[in-house]
Amino acid sequence: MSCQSVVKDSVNHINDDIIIDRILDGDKSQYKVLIDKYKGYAFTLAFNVLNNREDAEEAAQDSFIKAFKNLQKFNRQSKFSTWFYRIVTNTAITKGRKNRVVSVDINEARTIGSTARSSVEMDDQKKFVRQGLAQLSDQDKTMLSLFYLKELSLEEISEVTDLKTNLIKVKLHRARKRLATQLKTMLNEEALNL
Amino acid sequence: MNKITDEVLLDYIDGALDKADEQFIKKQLQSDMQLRARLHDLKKADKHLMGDILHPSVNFTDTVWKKISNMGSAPRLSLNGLLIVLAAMVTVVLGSYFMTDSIIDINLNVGVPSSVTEYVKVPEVELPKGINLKIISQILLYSISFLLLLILDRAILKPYFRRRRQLFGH
Repeated sequence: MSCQSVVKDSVNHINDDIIIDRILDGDKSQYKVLIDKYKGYAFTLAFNVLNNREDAEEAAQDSFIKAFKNLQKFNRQSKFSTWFYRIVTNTAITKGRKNRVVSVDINEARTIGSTARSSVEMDDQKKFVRQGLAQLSDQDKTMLSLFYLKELSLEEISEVTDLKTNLIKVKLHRARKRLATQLKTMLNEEALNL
Repeated sequence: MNKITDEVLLDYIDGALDKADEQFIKKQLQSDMQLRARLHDLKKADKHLMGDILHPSVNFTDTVWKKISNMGSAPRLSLNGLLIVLAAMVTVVLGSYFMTDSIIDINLNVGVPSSVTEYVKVPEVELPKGINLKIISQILLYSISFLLLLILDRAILKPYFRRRRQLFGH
């Protein structure tokens, strides 16, 4: 991490603390600032785990509500973003498990539906990357998403996922290799189908 | 560095190698086509996901804020209702216990002290033969149980689920 990004990071951290102080002092509308700041990250993280827009949006919204309700319990030992991403990760994984239990068939249909929708928005390679990501385990998906958001250091990812830093590094390498292999296979198959 | 593994290549992509190793990889990449292809494959997924932030719906912030604002007005559990439910539960449990063990032996012909009967003529209470006190007690217990369930629903369950729906929308 460069010196400039470290400074920017700590300024962000202080800003979040100031906003949280204001909210806890009674100016609850300040929470909108935090929502606006983190909604993209929360949604991306939830989407990478759930691979469905509606579910991801719901999970991200629930995470903001949970964070608001528990803001007083936030002990400031870590950054707000680290604490909040932990909430998003847990909410998304729980929602994903619930959806799988409710109906595997419906889930598959929705995934296919969302893939078809997103194919309009994304180019083919991006679509394959998303498909490859969807095939990984929840833990790998979370780790990769946090890594790709470029928001958290390995130590912070370890805080979110409850895994040791060394293990995170190994698992990240493994997951990125698996993703690259899957992407290569998918692109080869696509080329053969042409 | 003897063998350039995928792990080393990933560290190279992340800029996590020391200067000497980085230079070595750069040199190898110039001459080794296969290595260049491997690096390209590993970079491909990174290229699409690195720093790629997706955007939720336009009214995301408003929706969350509306749900948070509703939290204050969400119905709360009634303490009085809770106390009534507890009292009714205790009554039903005790009533059932005494009835099953036949501990209750209601005798309406309570003995009146003779000092009173000397001056006042107390009429004897005679219940009609058709009235069965046990059945009346049972009906009373069933009615209390029914009321208990009704209060449980109105005072505890309904407010709880309405609050949940308001907060989480499902």
